[in-house]
Amino acid sequence: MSGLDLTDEQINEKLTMLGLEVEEIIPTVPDLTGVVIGKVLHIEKVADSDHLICCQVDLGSEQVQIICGAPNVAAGQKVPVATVGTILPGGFKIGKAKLRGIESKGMICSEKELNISTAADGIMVLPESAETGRPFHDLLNTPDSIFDVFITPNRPDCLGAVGIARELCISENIFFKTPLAEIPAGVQATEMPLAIEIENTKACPRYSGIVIRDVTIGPSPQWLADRLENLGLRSISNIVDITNFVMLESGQPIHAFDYDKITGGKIIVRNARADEKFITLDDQERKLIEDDLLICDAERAVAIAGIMGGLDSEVTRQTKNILLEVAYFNPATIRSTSSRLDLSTDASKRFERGVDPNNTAKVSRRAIELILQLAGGQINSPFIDVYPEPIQAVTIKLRNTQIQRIIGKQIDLQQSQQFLELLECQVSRDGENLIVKPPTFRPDLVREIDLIEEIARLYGYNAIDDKLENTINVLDRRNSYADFIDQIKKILNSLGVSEAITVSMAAPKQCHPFLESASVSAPIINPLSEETAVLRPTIASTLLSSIAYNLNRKNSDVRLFEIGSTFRQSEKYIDEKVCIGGLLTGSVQPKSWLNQSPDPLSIFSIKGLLQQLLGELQISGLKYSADSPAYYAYGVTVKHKKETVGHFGLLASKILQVFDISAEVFAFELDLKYLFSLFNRKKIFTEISKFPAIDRDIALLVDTKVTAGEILTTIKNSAGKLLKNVLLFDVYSGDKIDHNKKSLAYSLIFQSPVRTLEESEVSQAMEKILSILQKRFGAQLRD
Amino acid sequence: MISEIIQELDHIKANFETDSKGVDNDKDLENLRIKYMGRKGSVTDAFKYMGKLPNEQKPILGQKLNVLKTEIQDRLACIKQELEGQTRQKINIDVTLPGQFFFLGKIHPIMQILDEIKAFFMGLGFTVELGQEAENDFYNFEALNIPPDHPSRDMQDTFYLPNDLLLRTHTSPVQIRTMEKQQPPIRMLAPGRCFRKDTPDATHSPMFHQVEGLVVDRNTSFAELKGILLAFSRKIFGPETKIRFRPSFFPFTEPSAEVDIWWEDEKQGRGKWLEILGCGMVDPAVFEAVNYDPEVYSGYAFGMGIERIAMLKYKISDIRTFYNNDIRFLNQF
Repeated sequence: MSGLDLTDEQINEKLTMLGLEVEEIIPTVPDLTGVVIGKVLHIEKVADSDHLICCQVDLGSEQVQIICGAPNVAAGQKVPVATVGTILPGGFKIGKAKLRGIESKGMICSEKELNISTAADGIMVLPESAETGRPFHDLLNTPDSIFDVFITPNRPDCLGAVGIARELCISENIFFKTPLAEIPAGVQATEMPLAIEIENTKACPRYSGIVIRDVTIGPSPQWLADRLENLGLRSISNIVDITNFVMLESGQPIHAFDYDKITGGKIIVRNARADEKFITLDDQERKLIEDDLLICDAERAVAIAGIMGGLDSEVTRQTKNILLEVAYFNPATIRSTSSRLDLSTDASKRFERGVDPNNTAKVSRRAIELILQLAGGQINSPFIDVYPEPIQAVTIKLRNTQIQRIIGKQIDLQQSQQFLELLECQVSRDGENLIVKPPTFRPDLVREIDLIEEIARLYGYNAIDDKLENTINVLDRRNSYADFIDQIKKILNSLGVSEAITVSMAAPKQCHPFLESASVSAPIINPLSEETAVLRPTIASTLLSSIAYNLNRKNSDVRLFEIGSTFRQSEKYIDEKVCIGGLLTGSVQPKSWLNQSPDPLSIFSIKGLLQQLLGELQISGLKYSADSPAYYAYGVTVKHKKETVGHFGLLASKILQVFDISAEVFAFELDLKYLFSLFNRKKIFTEISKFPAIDRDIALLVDTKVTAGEILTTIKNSAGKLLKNVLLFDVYSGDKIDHNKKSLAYSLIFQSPVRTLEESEVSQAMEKILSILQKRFGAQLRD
Repeated sequence: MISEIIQELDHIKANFETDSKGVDNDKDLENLRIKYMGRKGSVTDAFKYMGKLPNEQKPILGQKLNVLKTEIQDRLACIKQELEGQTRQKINIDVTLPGQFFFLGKIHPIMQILDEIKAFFMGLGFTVELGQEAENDFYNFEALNIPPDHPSRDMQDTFYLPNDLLLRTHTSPVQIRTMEKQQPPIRMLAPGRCFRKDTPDATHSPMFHQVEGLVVDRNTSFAELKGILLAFSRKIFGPETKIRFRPSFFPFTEPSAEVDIWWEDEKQGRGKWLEILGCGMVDPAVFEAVNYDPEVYSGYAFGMGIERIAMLKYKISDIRTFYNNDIRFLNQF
């Protein structure tokens, strides 16, 4: 690069720090270690072969015999020789070989085998001056490297090599200049007519065209084909390659039509008609709408503006005369058509980000220069440039105070002005302000803040001093909901349940069984796959996959919870509810030598877990009822007043089958926002009594239909203030008692906060409790 | 006279030392005690000399006798303790048997990282705000200066839902909603799940976690953003951490930057810059969308993927590992 002498690594660093992130640097020349320059000393045809030639080759340090099949090999030539052990590009490893019984040690290579060009006609012959025995890559010029640069959407000016070069110059404080292409003047006969008419100047503010006649369509020269291929484009023909090359160089897409297919020598830029159809050059029929912009001739459409040309008018081998289009289209127009047709091309990507409207003439000259050089021909029309309302640079007032305020660093106004001038802005001083006109190739510079960013960028983000003085600022705000969630997680952890995270999307078959009806399932309109086509209606519908994952890997005690959103589709909305869901499988305790057959988990394990959780959160007043959604084999609904807070139970086997789980899995799910409304975060200490407690055990015989809950409530209500605690320690039904009876054994603890209790008052209290239980439930004492 | 008695005391002491060696059971210990400290033991016996001395010498002998008595008592107590220790060890337990296992719940590693991040920023007065995952276009795009035909939507591939909703592609909507509700100053963190239409592989997941921060006040600047993020990086990755700011583009911030961290690979002994977060000064257009005056307030915002940081810190190579919830994985954190 003239004016700049930078290594690949320096370029990488500079571009990256300018905001042009280098994703990869790819050498254009493959690794050719092991390929050396050899001199063919002597050749001899191999007997009984019509094409094999036995060559004696001097490699400097040794002389080897190589069998070669190329007809152009001759004694005295300097040639590239891949020595034994070399791995050629493409992975072919050179070994010792025997052909027709004759030993061959190495290979004389063609350009194609060395992957330095596509030419495959025979071996590569090197200049006489090549020094025998030297590594082959010494002969190559300092090879080009390909920089794969990620261009952010705000920088259309960098969608061409010129833009990148400009940025590099700026970073080195060099004003950037591009040469103006030379084209012969005065060849402007008008025997081939050209007229351009723009119907919609908003969508197409500028359209330039020129006709070149008598071009010779043919293959591109090697340098051009190689360059395009390095940049990922296929070489097609000289004319098409030139249009692509100029686009990659300048960032301005250009299009070549076969002039003889343009009826009437006339170009009309107009909107499509409703339902108009057009066949693009990829042979697809495109259905258009009125917002789409078309390039037409006197009779029909020849291109979708800025996106793709038509099959009928493309340049072919038979083309003699071409019409070159260099235009500026409104970015929004191109973007909307491109995205609606799902048709994104190198041209549309540039137009939709915004090319420079004031650069068409310069780009045209460059294209014409190359066409005349590489395809011959003559300019055969005036340069017609329809640009009714030239697009002007915007004028921006930039306040010095704003630069300082946003960046947090005093930057000298003179320096700011220099940065902007390097960017090719026109800048004038107005006191402490700058009046700035950015160049039209920078459509991203329209506001004061855009200029401040440029100044910060060129000053160097890392040169701005870090500040911390302003950062500590305690606000009187606190999110107790976030704290509440953290608290729940800690409690569940201490109860042995681990936090899980699953992707909240699943297959319909994993979600629908949890729903009353598939119609309330919340679908994703554009899912990645059927496996993730709906949003989960319950935590279990995705968390079960993790249970299955663990069980399949012989982790048999799995206790997971997850906090996250669940979704249901209602008529007009998606109802998003944040829930805490848990799944537990396995036993109460791990199996070990201390307990070889631990009890399996039961629904009371889950109830206990939830009671501990809710107790810790000081949530009271919850009711448990023996009904639950259909996806439980059996379960319990947790209610507060009339509202459902959640449920828990054993999951139904039809659900578990969906996930290929054969173990029992217990689940719980609670509405987190609702729980939060019940959460009591105040903590007030209750004095612990200094006086001794007295405990009494009783075993009651009651009818099986009487519930433990009823008895507990009755005990509590009839015992008076001295009853401190009631513990149910045994439940029995069986042979030893009447078959429609059960036995419930309680331990009652009495204690006073202010004095030592007398035995007699506890006995009195017990008698009262018993008599009420007797009356209400027919309860009898069991001996 | 007294010197002979003192010699006699030394003799008793020497005898005791000899006798006490080899005492290895309670019975021998008791015999030893009786021999010296018993009613007729030699120490007790030695006290009789007190009566035979003139008064002025009595205190001297008394002190010597007491020292001897204390020494022997201490030795006996010591031997007793040693014997007890030996007895406890003689109970036959195999201490190599495994102890009882208790289920221990773990916080998911992604959330552990988030907790570290939260702790840093909450210490600087940030609040934590949570939002919804099903968002609408306004909050996810438009209010963030991403109009319908803007090319930056190319960078985000969005999952769409019925009723004009979408799955949020970042947690930025939470910031918009917070700014709508609240006047500056604002110092907030918005952590949560985000969704982008990426096919799952080792480094991509259609769902991932982000945490974004926002500060709006009268005098915030890019220099302050730099300061806070350097302090943050050092808190998370260690006090020697090097970072760099690199210009970038986001529709909702200007100037925008990406922050790289210098990451040394211990195995390869080489370092490289790795991108860890995006940030910038809040674009005035965003302030206009929430009716803040950009002439009065400035602000900065930053955002990072939590999985990425967890993968770096814990050396996890496949992002999908996080969502399988293998308990052998969870138990490692």
